[in-house]
Order: sequence, then structure tokens, then C-alpha cells
Amino acid sequence: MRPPRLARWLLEGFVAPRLADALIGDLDELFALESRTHPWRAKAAYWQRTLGALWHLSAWRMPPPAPHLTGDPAMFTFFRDIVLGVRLFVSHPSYAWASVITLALAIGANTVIFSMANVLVLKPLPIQQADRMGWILVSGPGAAPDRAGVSLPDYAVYRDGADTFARLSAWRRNMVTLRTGNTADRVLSMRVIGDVQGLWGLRAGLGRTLTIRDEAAGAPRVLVLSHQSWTTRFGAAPDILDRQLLIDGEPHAVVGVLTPDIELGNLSEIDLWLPEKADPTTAARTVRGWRPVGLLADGRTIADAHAQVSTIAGTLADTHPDTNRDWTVRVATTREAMGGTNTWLVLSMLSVVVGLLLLLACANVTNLLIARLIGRRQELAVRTALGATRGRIVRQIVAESLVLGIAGGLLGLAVAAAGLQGVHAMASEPFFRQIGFDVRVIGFAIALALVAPLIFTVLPTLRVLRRDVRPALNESTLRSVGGGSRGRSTLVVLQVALAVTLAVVSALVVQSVRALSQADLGYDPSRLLAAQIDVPTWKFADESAALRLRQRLLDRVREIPGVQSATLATEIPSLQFATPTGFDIVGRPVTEERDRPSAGLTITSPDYFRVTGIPVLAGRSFEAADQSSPRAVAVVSAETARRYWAGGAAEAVGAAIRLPAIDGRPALDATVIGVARDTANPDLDQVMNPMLFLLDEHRPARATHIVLSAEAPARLSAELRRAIRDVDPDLPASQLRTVSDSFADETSSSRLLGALFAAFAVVAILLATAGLYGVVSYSVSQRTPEIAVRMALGASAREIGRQVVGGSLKLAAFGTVLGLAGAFVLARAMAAILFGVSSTDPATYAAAAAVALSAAVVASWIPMRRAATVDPIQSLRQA
Amino acid sequence: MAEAQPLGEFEQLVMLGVLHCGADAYGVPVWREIQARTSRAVSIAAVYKTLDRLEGKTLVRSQVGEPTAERGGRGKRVYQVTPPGLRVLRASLGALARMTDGLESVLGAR
Repeated sequence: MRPPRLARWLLEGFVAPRLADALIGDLDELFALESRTHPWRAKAAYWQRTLGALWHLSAWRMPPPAPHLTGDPAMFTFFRDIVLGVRLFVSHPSYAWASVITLALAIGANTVIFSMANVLVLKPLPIQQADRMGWILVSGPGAAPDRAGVSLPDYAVYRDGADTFARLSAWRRNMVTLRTGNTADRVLSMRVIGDVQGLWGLRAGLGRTLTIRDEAAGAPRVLVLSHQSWTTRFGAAPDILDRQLLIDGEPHAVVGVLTPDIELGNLSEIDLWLPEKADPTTAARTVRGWRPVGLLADGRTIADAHAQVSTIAGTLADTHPDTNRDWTVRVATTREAMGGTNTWLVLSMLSVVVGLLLLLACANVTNLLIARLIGRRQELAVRTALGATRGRIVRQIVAESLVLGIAGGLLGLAVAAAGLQGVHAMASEPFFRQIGFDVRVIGFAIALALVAPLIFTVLPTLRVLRRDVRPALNESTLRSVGGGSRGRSTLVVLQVALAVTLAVVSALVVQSVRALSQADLGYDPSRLLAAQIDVPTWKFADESAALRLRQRLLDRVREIPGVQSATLATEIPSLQFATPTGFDIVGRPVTEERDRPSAGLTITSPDYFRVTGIPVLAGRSFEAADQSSPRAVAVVSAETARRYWAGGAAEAVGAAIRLPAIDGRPALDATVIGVARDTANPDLDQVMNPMLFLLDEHRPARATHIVLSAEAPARLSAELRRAIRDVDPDLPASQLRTVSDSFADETSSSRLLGALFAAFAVVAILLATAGLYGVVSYSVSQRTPEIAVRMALGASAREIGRQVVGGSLKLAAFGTVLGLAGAFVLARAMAAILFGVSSTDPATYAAAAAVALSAAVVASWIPMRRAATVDPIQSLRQA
Repeated sequence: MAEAQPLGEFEQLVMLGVLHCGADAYGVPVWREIQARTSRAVSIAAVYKTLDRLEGKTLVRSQVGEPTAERGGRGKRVYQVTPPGLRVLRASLGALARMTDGLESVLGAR
């Protein structure tokens, strides 16, 4: 009968090391004696004594041994172990550097993703009571989801009717012209109504914030500058207060400068804050763009607010169908409002990916450590025989690993810094500029650097030391023990699985990104240069004067050498959404509001189709003569013709349509003269938006773009700016860039995502290959005698080599199958962000499998050569 | 340096047990000795703890001995009372004797 193993294991694990052996020996001796007569009582007694030992003699309950007993106090030896750990870089450089680099890559990747999560989730928002704020997000036809706004009258309705909000304000971003000296600039302003600054608890670094009194009709015109504009535009001038700035021609007094805390995400680009003086109840219903945000009433939740606001929206749609039909609202939390839903999905995915990378790295370092310990088994056996306790050896291993972990953490910070540089370079959205190092991010990296060693030392130390090291002094027992090769193989299979999963996911994301950037827009934007212009009402109150100005601008731009042609356009196709406008087809009266035809209205000049290169499929395009025609002419897109005319384009051409009177504009009768090809809608989904094109002369638009086409549009930027200024110095050019650049900006964050995923996949594949190499090479070295025997018996080098590669391939195959399964699950979870590629695309999966198997072959190359060059005589002599 | 603090009761018992066991004073015999003579149920772990503490105070010293098969290849830790330990023990027992001197009638014979 043997003493109970569990009790023995407990004693070995927990009793103070210097007494453990003797005590266990004593217990065993007693057991041997007692079990001869009363075996079961002996067992019970053993347990009883074990519990007593655990109670009295647990390692942490015992005082540390006096110095003369162990030779060195524990603390002192720990520091010495740390120093030895540092010397590892000199004594065992390949092991040390391999571990450190592996850890650094994983820690760096995790830190980069954490810094994103930090901004999205952890960083306290500069808005007071942010978790009690509800944001009303609006979606509607032809607008980007959640990004449209409400009109001022709608805001008033919500403000007065929604009692789930204790108070409700609204804000709107708005470009205005700032005139300083001789230059006019378009700057981004934040118009606020209902005292947004008070609601959010914003503070002024200088002067004061806006109050509700500034919104009164007769109040003096004031503005508050953002911190960034005060420093960049006005050089942080201390005398800025009470200076008068010309905003859209009106003098405004600067009453304050905000603190920089609010410059988060989209709000970081705001230059100045203006109080809205218009009376909400009498404002135009067609002008949207106001985003209501409010403080939830006590005891009310977001869900309550959402229910009430949706009901109010429904009522508005019924009472004002032509402006509110098909617009839906929802109430969101601050976090959601500041980052879209896709952002959360993407962040979760990235977190999962880098978490897996860290596990992969730890697995690799674990393998390295096990290999090293196995190499040192003889040394460890000798040390134990000389009296070193297991605790002592474990402490040394832990100290070494901590050194590696910290080194990995420091290098990882450098990797993260480089990664963040890359992120900033690739992405233009303000959200990404905010991502950087702060206390939390650095703390995270340090925590990882300390935790990772704990993860990768647990397994090896338990395994290696659990085996009885004492009798292991002869070679053959050393070899036959094998050091847990099955565990290592399992680990490698998991590594390959992780790498394959990552490879598949990354490939899908990269393909999505490419599809996005190559999406067929329906026209070629590469020759176009555009600038936003807005004819100021304060200078050109008269519509016809404004029209003439725009015409002069067109003429002037056409004179620029290199320009093929130029046009005005309220929206650049596929880049911006056009305002959906209802119209009637003459002879087809409409009974229900929702049956009325609607199309995105773009106001253009006659050369629009020539400039953009969009072909007119039926009928004709605009001509110069149409500008002076008393009856308006219109061009519709193919989708419009398809939807509203049973006979399609043929029937549409020549049809008479009527735009109803709205907002002080009279009704407009027009004849459809042509049908143009569809262009992709800015969301790039399959649904085409119906479009309707009218000329500026018939439906004047002040806020529009000047677009020119040229061979090399980028070179004409300065010329365009000069041309605009020449026409009128108060007409500033904003957003002056090539249309290709605008598109690139739109996809920049997708491209960034693709790059991140691709980088992580490459790292994962490298780590898995390294892991495979480790295992295969170890197995070859362990089996050298066997190989020698076989070669002596006549096996050829090639046969041996094939066997080695075969072993490696088998491991990789298991891992690949697991990895493909995992990828399948993960890809379906992220199907929402994929574009142009299916989550089960077979080519991608096959390619990933091929990469994994090739990696297996590559990883086994060196071990295979080594196996093939085994000298049978030598190895047998050594064995 | 010998501890100036007096010995605890159990510490005395353990040291006396070591003295009784002579050359073979390791865990099991010391423990048996104490149990037999004091008729107390004593846990062997408590004996170990006390021996370790005494060693910390340099009142005893130990040596790891030969492993035997019954002990699964583990050596015995054999203890010995050191000269300072002997001095302290004598002093402690002497103090006890002086305290009990004259109280035989109340305390009764041993």
C-alpha cells in the first residue's frame, strides 16, 4: 500500500522546503509501519498528519529561515537571480533575445489596441454626467445612418414635448467665414442652442463660456474660441478677449476661450462656438443638421427616452410628411454617439486578435523555457542533490522570466510607439489622432510585461520540477523522460490554429478594404479638383447677384491653363449624399405623401456631366442655352427613371415634373431632358439612390462646390485658390482638394484596419513557424540515437528527411483544421464589416491552409538537414 | 547567540525529547517519546515546527542523514541540542525547580 498521492502532492507543494523532505520521509515511515496492521487507519492518519503539516508548516506561515540555515536570505538571492537574469542576454543570447522579441511583438500589438480602447471606453469624457446624457441620432433617406440631424422646429418640439429629458439642447457643425485682415478663411463653427456648454459643464480657460442669454434675439453677437484655434490661429494672444472678429461679415466679440479637454473626436476640429439666435419655432423645417443632446430626467433611462422620442418623431412624420416622412430617430449613450456601432465591433475584433497573439507569444516563450530547462536538467539535478530546494529553483526561474518579461515590455513599448506612428500616418480621422500614450496605456504595457512571465513560467516549472529530479543523474533516464513532449506538441498545434484563424480573418479584411477602394463608383474621379464655396448672404443678399458671382467664378476657373472644363455641383457624386426632394410627375397625382416620388437633388451647371464623365444614356445632357431657358430642364438618373416611370428611360425623357413650393421658394416646373447613368451611393451598398439634376439658374444654390477637370488636378490647387480669391476676396475656398484625395480620406480608416490585421497575421504566422521549428528541432535532437541506428541500418538521408517533414506537417495539419474552424466562426461574427467578400470565401480559407502547411515545411527545413547529416557512428558512440 | 527569552513549555518538551533520543533524534522518535511520556496527543507537525524554531534560535542543530527505502529515498533530519541550548534548558528547568521548591505538599509527588 502506498501513501495517498494527493496528500503527498499537497505536502510537496506547500510545506516549507527545508522541512518538506524530512517530514514527508517521516510520514512515509510511519505509514509503512502502520499500514502493515491497519492499512485504512494508516491512510487516515496520513491525511490527518498532512493537514496538520499544512496548518503548521505551510511555506508562507513559517518565518523565513535564519541566515545561517540556508546560507543566503531569500531576498538577497532573489536580487542575485535578477542580476543573473540580466546576464542571460550575454550567456544565452539566442534564448533571451528570441523570448524578448516574441514578447515585445505581442505586448506592442496589445498596447496599440489598448490605446484605442482607452480612448473609446476608458478615458473619462470631458462632458459632465456623460452617462446621464442622451443623444438623439437621426437616420433618413439618402443620409448616412445616425449622421443626419433634425431641423430647428423639430428640436423645439422635442425640447418641449420630451419630458424624459430634464433639459435638451442641440448643436450643429457649420462652416463660416472668418475674416482677419485681408484674408478670409472658412472655419468650422459649432452652433449651439439651449446652452450646450452649460449642459456639458464646459469650462473657459479665459473669459467665460456661452450662456442661454447669448441666444436671445437682441443680445450682442459673441463667440467663444476653442483652445486649439486660439493657439494656432491667434498665437495664444493674451488680449484675445473682447477682440471683434468678422464672422460672415458680422462683428462678433470674443468672450472666452475654452479649455482643451473638450477636443475629443469630431469636436477636436471645432474652431469657434456660436450661440444660435434664430427662433426655433419659425425656422425652416427643411434645414436639418441639428443634433439634440440632453440630460435624462431623474429616474429615466435611455430606453425611456428612446420610446418617447420615437413616438414624437412618428407624430412629426404624420403632421409634416414632406419634411419628416421616413426619418427615424433613436436615443444613444454618449459613448455610442462618439463612436459608431461599427467601431465597437471592430474594436472587439481587434482585441480578440491581439489577445490571441499574446497567448501565441506566451506559448512560444513557454516552449523556449521548457527547452532550456530540459537542457539544464542535469545541472538542476546536481543542485537539488546538493541541497537546493525546489522553491529556490523556482524562484530563480521566475526571476529570470521577470527580467525577460520586463525587457519584452520595454521593447514592446517601442514597438507600440512605432505602431502608433503608423496609425497616425495612415488615418485622417480625428479619433485616431487622439490615440497615444497616457498613464493607463503605459500601465497596461507594464502589467502585461509582469503578467506574461507568470503565464509562461507556470507550466514549465510545474512540469519539470514535479518529476523526481534526484535519481535523474544518468543520461538514459534524462532522455527517456522526454520533458513533456506531448504537451509541447499540443501547444504548437494550438499556435498553428491561432495563426491560421488570424490569417483567414486578416485576408478577409484586407480583401474588403481593397474592394472598398476599388469599388466601381460609376465615374472616374481621378481628374477632378474641387473646393467648397458658399456665397455669403451678408455680401450678396440678392439671389441674382449671387448667381452672377457663381457664373463669374465658373468663367474664371475655365481660364486656368490646364483646365478641361468646370462646373458647379452641390454634391460630389458618391462622396456626399444629396438632399432627398419630393416631386410630382405631371399627370400622375399622388394621394398619399409616402407615394410621392423622391430623388436626391443636385444643383449643377451645364458642364456637369462633361466634367464628371458620367454618360447620359438617353435624351441629352445640359447645354449652355438651357441656362437662359424660361422653363427649367432636368436630368434624372437611371434609378429614378426605373423607379418612377414604367417605361423606364424612354418614358422619362420628355416628361414634365413639378417640384412643390417649399421654404419660401416657389414651385418649379421642369422637363426631363435626359437620363444619366447611376453612380454608387456614398455607403457603397448595392442600393442606388435616385438622383435629380437641375441647373443653378433654375434652382440657385449658395452652398456648392466648384469642380474642375484636368489632366493633373493636384497641380492646379494654388491656381484654383487664386482664381476664387480673384473673383471675390470674401469668397473663401474650403476643402480644396482633389476628389481622389477626398475618397482616400473616406477609406483611410478601413485601410488602417486592413493594415493592422495584416500586420497581426504576419506576426502570428512568424510566431507559429518559430514554434513549429522549436518543437521539430527538439524532437530531432531527442531522437538522434534512433536516427543514427536507422541510418546505420541503411535508411537514406532522404527518407529520414521526409519523416521529419512529415512529422511537422502532421502537427500543422491538425492546427490548420482547428484554425479553419475557428476562422469560420469568427468570420461570421464580423460579417457586418466585410465588403465585397463572403465570410466563407473558399479561396481565402484554402490560401491560409496552404500558407500554414508551407510554414510547416519551412520550419522543418533546418532540423531536416540536421537529421540528414547525423553521423551514425558518432551518435551511437555517444548514446 | 543564545536567546535571552525563556523557553516555552512545548519547546522544553521537544528539547528534552531530543535529549532522550540521543543519536537518532529525528521527527518520529522525538514525537513518540513526547507522546509516551506526557500522554498527550501531539501532532508531529507541531514537533517539527518547534524544532525548526529552536534551530532558528541556535538551541538545536540538525543534519540531513541517510535516505532509506521506507522513506521513499528521503533523508532524515537528525537533531542535536547545542551547548547554548543545553545551558538555556538547564536554566529554564532550574527556574522551574526553584519555583516548585517548597510546594510539594500542594502539588503532590511526581
